[in-house]
Amino acid sequence: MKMMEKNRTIVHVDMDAFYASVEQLDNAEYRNKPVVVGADPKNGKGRGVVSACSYEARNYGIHSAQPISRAYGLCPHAIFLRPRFKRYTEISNKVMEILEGFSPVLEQISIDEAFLDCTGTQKLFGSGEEIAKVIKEKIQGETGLTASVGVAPNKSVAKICSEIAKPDGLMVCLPGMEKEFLEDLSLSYLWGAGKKTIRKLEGMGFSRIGEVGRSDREMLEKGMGKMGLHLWLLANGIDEREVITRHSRKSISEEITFQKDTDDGELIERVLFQIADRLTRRMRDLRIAGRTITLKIRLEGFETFTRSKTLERAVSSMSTVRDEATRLFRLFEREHKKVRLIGIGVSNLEKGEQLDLFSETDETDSETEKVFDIMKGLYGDKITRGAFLKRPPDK
Amino acid sequence: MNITIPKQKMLKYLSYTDTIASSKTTVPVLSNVLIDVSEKNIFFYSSNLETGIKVSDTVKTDEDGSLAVNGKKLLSIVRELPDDDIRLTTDDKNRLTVRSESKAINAEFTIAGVSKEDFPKINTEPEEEYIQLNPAPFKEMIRKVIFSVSSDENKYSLTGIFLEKNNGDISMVGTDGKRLSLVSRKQKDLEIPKDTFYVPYDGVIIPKIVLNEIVKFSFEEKEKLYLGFSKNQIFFKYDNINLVSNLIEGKFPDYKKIIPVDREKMFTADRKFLYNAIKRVSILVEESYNQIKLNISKDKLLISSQNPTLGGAIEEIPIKYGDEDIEIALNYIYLIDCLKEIGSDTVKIDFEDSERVLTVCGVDEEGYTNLIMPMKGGI
Repeated sequence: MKMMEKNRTIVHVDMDAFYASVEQLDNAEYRNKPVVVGADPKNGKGRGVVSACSYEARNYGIHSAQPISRAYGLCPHAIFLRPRFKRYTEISNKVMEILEGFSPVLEQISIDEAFLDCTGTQKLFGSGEEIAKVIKEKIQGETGLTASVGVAPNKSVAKICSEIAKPDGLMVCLPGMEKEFLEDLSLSYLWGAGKKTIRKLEGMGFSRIGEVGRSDREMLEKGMGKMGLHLWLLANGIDEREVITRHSRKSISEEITFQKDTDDGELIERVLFQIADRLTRRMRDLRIAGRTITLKIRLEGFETFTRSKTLERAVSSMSTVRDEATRLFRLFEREHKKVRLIGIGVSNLEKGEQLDLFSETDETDSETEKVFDIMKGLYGDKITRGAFLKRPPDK
Repeated sequence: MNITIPKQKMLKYLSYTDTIASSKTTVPVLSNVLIDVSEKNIFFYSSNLETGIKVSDTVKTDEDGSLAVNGKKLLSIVRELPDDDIRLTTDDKNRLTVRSESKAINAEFTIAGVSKEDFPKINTEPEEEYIQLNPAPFKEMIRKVIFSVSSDENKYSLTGIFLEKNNGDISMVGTDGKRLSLVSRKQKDLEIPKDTFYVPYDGVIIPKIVLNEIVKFSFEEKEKLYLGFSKNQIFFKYDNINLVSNLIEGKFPDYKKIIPVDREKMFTADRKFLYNAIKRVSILVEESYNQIKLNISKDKLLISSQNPTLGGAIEEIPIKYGDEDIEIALNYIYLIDCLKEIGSDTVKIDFEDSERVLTVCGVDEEGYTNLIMPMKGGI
């Protein structure tokens, strides 16, 4: 483990209402009006969700991931648009190019969000706050869009800063002030804590981040496992995760711990399917592909095993990753022990995936995947891939 | 056996057999070269079980005989001897003795060998009639596609050149699944006598190693090359050499299906200019995957490379293009390889988008097409 440099300067840049802002930028007539990007509302009968909405739309109570019919109900006269991902990607690339100018240590975490490690660049660009100002100006100057920027000694606090600063804001949390800064914030600000986790924390009697930070660490760990410890650290303003650039990234993985240890092979394969789907979606977002697929499996009693297979070329397609992981799982001899955790990792990453002339399956696969990614963007995680939930036996 | 043979001849023949002989240690006998002498004729044979070669000549013979000995060792010995005749003798214990007839040195080499009966039999005559052709254009065809042939044994059917008769023309195709080269020539271009050309089945896959031998060989002016087939073998006869090889079994992919037609987006560029620019820019590519980017815009092509630890390069060259801007990432070696072989000063590259196949061909060269699949994503 690399020694953490004292007082890092981590900058989190988050584009404001990204899809909706792009639409307002490209279509002057949409400016200062409620714009909702997402599924077709079909006069209130539409299914699907809001992908993004302008701040004007938020005033009506519309927010992303909301059912589109509900959004329509809240503001029928809003401008409802289908997303134009190609255009969003184009602008996103431009923004990332700008950010690369400030530090080579750049981690893009989604189409409109990125972390920069600016530790050591102060001599070139000034303090964290000054860098953030210049970044904001440059993004606005070159794309016409606004971004919110958070500056802090670590990733989690920087992300919370930009979140609070929205829209078109800038917030800095100086080293040593992390705990104080987090003290009164509601649990929903905890990065990585989903609805279920928050409910669990609330069930334990917490309502503010500071309370979690002051709680007994072992109690949290006992109640929530590794996640408990992670949250306790975050709540205390401690987050040692590094900003991972595309070039320094060595692997990418996803795993799931079963609520109850299981030996239901079909269930495990179904979960592998979900993990492969999530993982490869992330890979496609990051535009990476890998040659080595690793299955991680933890049995009851915490014995952990990994099994790997290295392919001839780098892949990012869901079906290949799923097939290989499932094959590895079927070959794994667990001697009737139950499975506690299952995960898939992809390593041996290549940043460009060489496409094939003949492999039609892959071709259709990536076409399907493109459509699928767009659908998920439109309808949220409710969209599930139509496939054999039970993978056919190996030939 | 007791013979003499000029050093240079022996050196040449052993180097032919050496490329075919197997280096796989699993079948040790295949690393041998069989020397067979009868009635003033000498034959050198080697084989890797799939491909075999026979080189014939006449020599001064004192006694007939045969023996198979380690080809590499024999070649090394011969290479070190003076330019005089070499005497080869065998004894009844399957040993070969090599001496130079030169007065300059006084050295003797003895190599243990195996008898002719233990060496695999190599049949060098086809069941069907030989087809006569001009080797120069035939070699050129091979050169134009062989670089695309796969070396990946897992894709066995792609490890050879596909030869077929295509509307009366002769076609060769090489591909590794990521790029493909296709060349077609008229029978008369190869000076094939009328009504003699045929290819069994709907085309055959010929191992790369055999065709490499043909490409390497320097034919005399007006010398002919003979091509023949048996059920699952291909035969070549030229000079004093016979080559035989098993055809690669398996189905060659339906390549015609993937050749794009009626593409609208395309640019033309000076071949040498483009080639040199790519060479320069590629100095700084990341070597693990050789990616360069082509940014194509109105009458302008930007070629760039990026290496996260080293730096990068960018070069702009003029092209003729009038469609929308597009960026395509690909392996520069694929482009370099085919630009080298295109026989036209101007090349045409057509495409559809950044994830579909590119076609590269010469504006003034008919019957030669290269397909290249781009890379998805990039630095």
